[in-house]
Parts: sequence; structure tokens; C-alpha cells
Amino acid sequence: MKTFAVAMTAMVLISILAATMALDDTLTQNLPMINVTALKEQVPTERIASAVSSISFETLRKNGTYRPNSLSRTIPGLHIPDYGASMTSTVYLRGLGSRMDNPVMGLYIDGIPVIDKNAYDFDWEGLNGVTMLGGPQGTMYGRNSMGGVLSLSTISPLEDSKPTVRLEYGTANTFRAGISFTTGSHAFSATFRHTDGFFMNVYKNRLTDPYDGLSFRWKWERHVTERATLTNILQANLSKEGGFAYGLWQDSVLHPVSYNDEGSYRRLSVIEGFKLHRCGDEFKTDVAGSLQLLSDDMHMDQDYTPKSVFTLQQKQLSGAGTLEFTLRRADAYALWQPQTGLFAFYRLNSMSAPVTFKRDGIETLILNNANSHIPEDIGYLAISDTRMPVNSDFLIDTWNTALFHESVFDLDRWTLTAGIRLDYEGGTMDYDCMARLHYRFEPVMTADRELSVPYKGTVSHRHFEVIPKLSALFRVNSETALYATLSKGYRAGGFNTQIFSDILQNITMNAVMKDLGVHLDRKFVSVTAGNTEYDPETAWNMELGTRFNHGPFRAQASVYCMNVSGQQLTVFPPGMSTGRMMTNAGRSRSIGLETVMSWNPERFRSHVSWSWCDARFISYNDGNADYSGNRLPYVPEHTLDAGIGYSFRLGSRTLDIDAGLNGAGPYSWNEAGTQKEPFRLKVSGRIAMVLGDTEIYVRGENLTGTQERSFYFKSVGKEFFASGKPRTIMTGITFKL
Amino acid sequence: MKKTLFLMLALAAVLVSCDKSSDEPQELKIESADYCGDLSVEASSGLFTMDSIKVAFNATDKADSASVTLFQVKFAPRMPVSLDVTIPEITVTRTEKGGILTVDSVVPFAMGGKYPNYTVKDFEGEIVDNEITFSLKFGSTPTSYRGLLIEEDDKEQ
Repeated sequence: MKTFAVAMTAMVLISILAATMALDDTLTQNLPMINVTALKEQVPTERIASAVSSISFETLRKNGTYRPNSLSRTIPGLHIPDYGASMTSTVYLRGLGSRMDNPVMGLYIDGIPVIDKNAYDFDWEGLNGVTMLGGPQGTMYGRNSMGGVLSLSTISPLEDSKPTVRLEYGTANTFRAGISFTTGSHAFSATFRHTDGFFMNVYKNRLTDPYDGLSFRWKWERHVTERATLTNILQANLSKEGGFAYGLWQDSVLHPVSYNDEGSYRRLSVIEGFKLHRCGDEFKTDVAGSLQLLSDDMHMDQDYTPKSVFTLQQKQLSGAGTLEFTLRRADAYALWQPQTGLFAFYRLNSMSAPVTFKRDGIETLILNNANSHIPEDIGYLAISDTRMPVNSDFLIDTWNTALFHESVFDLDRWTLTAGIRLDYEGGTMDYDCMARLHYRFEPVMTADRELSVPYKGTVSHRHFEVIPKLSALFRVNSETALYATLSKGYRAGGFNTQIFSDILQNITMNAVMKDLGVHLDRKFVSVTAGNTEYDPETAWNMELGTRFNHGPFRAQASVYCMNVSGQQLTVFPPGMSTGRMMTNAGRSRSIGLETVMSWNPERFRSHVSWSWCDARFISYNDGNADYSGNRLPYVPEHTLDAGIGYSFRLGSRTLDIDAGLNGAGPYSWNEAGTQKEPFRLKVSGRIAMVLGDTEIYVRGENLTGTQERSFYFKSVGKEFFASGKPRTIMTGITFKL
Repeated sequence: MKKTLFLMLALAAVLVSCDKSSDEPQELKIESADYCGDLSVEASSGLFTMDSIKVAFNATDKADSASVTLFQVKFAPRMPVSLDVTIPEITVTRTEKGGILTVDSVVPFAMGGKYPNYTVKDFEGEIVDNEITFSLKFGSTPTSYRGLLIEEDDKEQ
């Protein structure tokens, strides 16, 4: 609380300082426009009463930020730990976030929402830049935008854009190539990346995280009439990778990655979107729709040991359609600027997630558990199978429909915004599971008996959410603005599919016992399918912020207090459980400060992005322990990204030298706070020689080789960590033709 | 005349009744049925009783032999599991009131196969009206049971 008070004071001081430093306090209504085509907001980003971070593609490229995950920490408070594979892009923002299922951040590409979180992590090329709106943006963006919205704006054939070719090569035999160009009404971009991988699986004696990925985008855009613009965007990503570089944590030592079964991920993601923008005399209308396909296949050694315990395959084929219609006033300078919209989406996901228990798993996870309940003098259970599949097939449909309205009142120095969204979402999950085994009760039975245990059914949920927003922005002068916002966001509910192997395991053991005529006093207990549905998580956000722009100096700071109800957290069922499940853990609150400052006079450049967050459970008892008052796991207390650079003129050439620091922490790895990660800094640097439209560079990341743990989990009672990427050096060349 | 006619009818009724009793002995039909009752086990730690124990009596087609299955029984109070045990090859001797059940020695079925550790000895019992009673030794453990027929209506409930 003390830190929060300090942060508040600091923010107020920045505001006062900014107001004092202002050279010209004449109000300027027409503030410089930043490209906001990918945002829904009617006003320029300077007048949005939220924390806004805009980064140009040129800056992203220089920093080596080539995918959404790499934005972690660059945007204050944004933490996307790099672990696992492309499907595991877990986003943490302002104390919100969880390892599985729905994200807390909405991702938009040219105004088209990316529905499936598994498609969030992809390599990009041909962007104009990215813009992050921090804090709950539920009123305009709906579900899963309670932590913020990341909006990518791609190059348009309607704008001047030089054809660009990029080539990069470096550590771990990493090769990256990218190309982007426009011609006529078309804009194309493509990028390919290969890496051999960074982490050795010592059991297999080969790298565990190789990656090959190709991203492609075609955008067609044309003014079809004087008043109407039609846009079509086709984006596809294809990747094949290893991953899941998890090492055993034992006796305070992180052991190397060592497991025997396959760890891989393949994905095809296609998004076909269209937009029609029409500007009439009175109203502007926008229609945006998309069809989205995701097909992926993940293989995972779930015990992450050299033993043949159990594996998971998760194969999905998901199709989604979105449609949004918005109507707004044409006069951008009108006092009252209303915007009303309708949104709907439908997603159908066919998922197969078989868990295969192998011999060691049958012995340790199933038989040891079962026989511990049976007196030795009666006998013991034996399963002769070398592999015991527990098949789980799911058909999950999710739908959402929403009506939203936002009114912006521009009153001299004030911009007042009020909005509301009525959001109705539902879903159904059909589950069809089957476990099959051959068992024998020794010494009584003389032959194996086959047993099939089916488990079928349907669960569904419906939720209605009202998402209001109120904000006020006051322009102190042409350089300084203050704002206050009260907003709400929500993260959709869903179904736990991961826990079904656990359910089946217990049902199977009970079925075996019933088949034998053996009745345990203490049954094999687990949750049932009826318990697998979890509710939406909602957050109320109160935020105060300021912006200050003075010449080459820009600053932005905000303090927030968020109250979260029904916080969705991953919980590992107690004992020798193999599954994991999402649960509405109770209540939590986050308070924090986010600030960005940059000073770029002529050839010198510098920036600092820093956030502080104190996210704690208000009430959370998982049945085994009370975690009230503890910090939320995985949420860093601080994120920091800072950099300085200078461009030296050498005749017609320019030498760019940049250095940076990037870090996050401390944070807890579990609810109890028994495993913690300290704040760790990584050093980066870049030297580039610019010759006209050609640039040759060398870039280094994590130059000091800081050993950071990027992810933690427990499996079968054992603790595992993923490590952050080691030192990487990349050299590259960029041509602008 | 009326009195004569009444006497003749009464005599005929008596004759018919006698005729029937002479051709078919008065035995109740032994049928498969489920019973619910108390099981008493003289364990080494002392006598203990389990109530509401279900027993299934399964007669053969000829009803001269049967099996009895005891559901969810324990042979010691602290036994962490209960078992379904089937006693096969029980000889059924029909009587006027029901049937007498006997087995000298037989290996029961439990846990998916024959379970010689609990070989049944000295099984003696009877079914009378809607009640079954029997006593036996499971291995060396004296055990007795008394249960009442579960009516179809009760089963449905």
C-alpha cells in the first residue's frame, strides 16, 4: 500500500511537472493523428482515457520483436512468458491471467479479432505497428479484453510502402527471412523462421525446441466508391516445432531437460477477414467479418521424465466466424460522437485429447494407487497392457452476441466517454470418453478380463454480462492531459477438458472394482463432468492517468486498482492426480502503476517502460489451504524495459548503437508462494550500419546470459521449470527496394 | 331339498380338496429372489453384524440347486474393502414350507475367480415363506444371515 501511495504521488508529480513545463498552454483540438485504423475508438489515441502504448514496426524490428510474445515487458505490465510451444502464449496483465484457456488480452489484426488463443503466437511481417490499450476494454471489445487489447495494424496498399526484404541469421542456427510489398490494390507480406532450438534433451541427445514457421498475409484494399472502402485480409500461419523444454526441479537444482516421449506442436491457422467502411453524410458504417480456421496437433510427454509414464496428444480442428456492425457519426468534430455496434461470433471446436498411460504410468499412477486401497492378503490388481489409452473427444461450441454503445462528448478541454455493452455468451460441450484395459486380480483370476469404460454426456453454460464504462479526459494544455476511467471487463467462462483424463482414470478404477465385486470404503474420487464448467471472470478497473508530450520528450503514467471476481486460476487436483483444471478461485485485487517515458532528441534516443503491480487474493481457499492475502502466481511485481541509443553520422552512412535492459519479477510460482522468482535483468544491444536503404546489423539478447526461469508447473507431485532463452546473437540485413 | 343340495356341494368340495392334496404335495415354489437382512460374523476380534446386506438367491431351472451371492460383505470390522461373494453348488431340498439349503464344502467366487482362502463349510439354511436364513463358515469364520424377501415394489424404489 505504501508503494501504491508512492506511485500515486509520483504520477501526480509528473502531471504537475508536465503542466509547469508546458510552453504553450493553448489548447489544440486537432492533436497529431496516430494511425488508429485498427482500433475501434472514435478519437485519436491521445484522447483515449486508457494507458496506450504504440510501437512502430521499425522499432519492433530493431528490438527483434517479431511476434506478440516478444512484446512481453516492452509494454509496461505485459508479461508473456516464453515457454512451451506456440500454443502456450499465456498473457499476464495487471494481475490478470492464467495458464490455460481464455486469454485476458484481446488480439486484433486490422480490426479483426483473433478468436483462438492458440493462434496468438505467430511471426509477423509487414506491420505498420502495434497499439496496446491497457486495462479492461470490455465495453468496446467484449470478451477476453479485461486486461487490455493488442491491436496490430498491417501495411495497406492505399499507403506508400517500400518493398522490404529482411534476412537474419544467428545463434542456434536461427534463420529468419521476411518480405513485404504492395502492388496495385494488394499488399503482401511473408516471413519464415527456422531455429534448431536452444535446449538439449539430454535423454534423447537432441535439441528439444526446433522451430519452422511460415506466415503469410495478403491484403486487398480499395476505395470501391468515393465513400466506401473495401478490405480483404487473408492471413495464414503454418508451423512445426518441438518445445516443452521442461527440466526437473529437485533439491533446489534445475536439472536439464530429459524425457523420452514426443514433444511437438504443429499448427495451421488461417484468418480470412473482410471490412467495409462507408462514410455517409451523417453516419459512418463499418462492417467487419471473418472466418477463422485453426488446426493443430500437440504431443506432450506429460511426466517429463525418461520413464514411460504417460503422454498427451491434443488435436483440434476449430472453425469460427465473427461479424460486427458499427454505426457512428460522420462528423469527427461534433460535440457528441456516438458509436453503436452489434457483434456476434460462433466457434465450433472438435478436439481429441487422448492420454496414454504407458507401462511405468500404469504401475505408478494406476496400480500403486489402486492397490494401496486393497489389503495384501486379499490380492492385488494387475493390468497387462503396455499402453492404456484414455480417449477423450470433445465437440465444443461457443457463441456470443453483443450490443454495445459508446458516446464521446468533446467539451472544450474535456472528453467525456460513457459506454455500455450487453454481452450474452454460451457454450455446449459434448464429451465422449472411453478407457479400455485388460486387468486381472491376482492370485484369484487366472485370465485377463477386458473392460471398457465409456463416459459420455453434455454440459452447457450461459452467461449474461453488462459491461459499462465511464471516463473523463482533461486537457490541461496542448501537451498535458489527465484522465480517469471506471471500466469493466470480463473473461469468458468455459470447460475444463484437461481434467477428463483424471476423471476417466478414477471412473475406470471404480469400474474395475465394481466388476471384481470389490467395494472400497474410500472410493477413487475426482471431479465429474458436471464440475468442469467454470464461470466468467470479471474485473472492475479504476484508473487515473496522465500524458505529457513536450518536443522529443513523451511520458505517460497511470495508476489503477482492479477488483476481480471469480478469478480463473489453474489448480492441480491434490494427490497423484495427472490432470489440471481451471477454477474460479475467488476474489483478488490488483493495484499498480504503469509508466512509459521516452526522450528522442535528434540522434539520441532513450526510453523506459516500467510497471509495478501488487496482485493479491482477497479470498481464495482451494479446499486444502487458504491463500487469502498471498500474491497471485505468475504475476510479476515489476516489469522493466529501458534502452538508450545514438546514431552516428559517418558521411553518407549512419552507425546506430543501442543498448537495452529488460526484466521482470519478483513473482510467485504457486499460490502458496513457496516457489519464487527474483527480479532478473537481461541486457541487450544492437549495432547497425545504415547505407541508404540498406541496413546491416548485429543484435544480441540476454548478453549477460542471465539464467531465468520462465515457467513452473507440477506433474505427478514433481516440480518442473522451463528456462528462459540463453544468450543469442543475430546478424542481419534489411533492404528497402 | 335345499339342505340336501348344500350337503352334496360341501361333500364335493371336500372330495375335490382331498383329491388335489393326494396328487400334488404342498411345496412352495423355489424361485430366484433377492433378500435384504443382517449378516453376523464371528471374527477373531469378536462378533459383529452388518445390516442391510443384500443376498441374491439364484436357483437352477429344476430348483434342485442354487447359488447365493452376498453383496458387499466384510469378514472383519476393519477390513478396508467389502466383497461380493458367490457360494455355488448349494443343494436345495424342497419342503412343504419352502426349501432346505445345504453344502458341505465349496470354494466361493470372489474378486473375479475362485477364492479358496474363504472356502465355505457347513452351509445350512432354509427358505421359508419370504425369509432366508443360513449359517456357514467362511474359512474358519462362522457367519450367519437372516434376510427378508425384497418385493418387486421395493426393488423399483
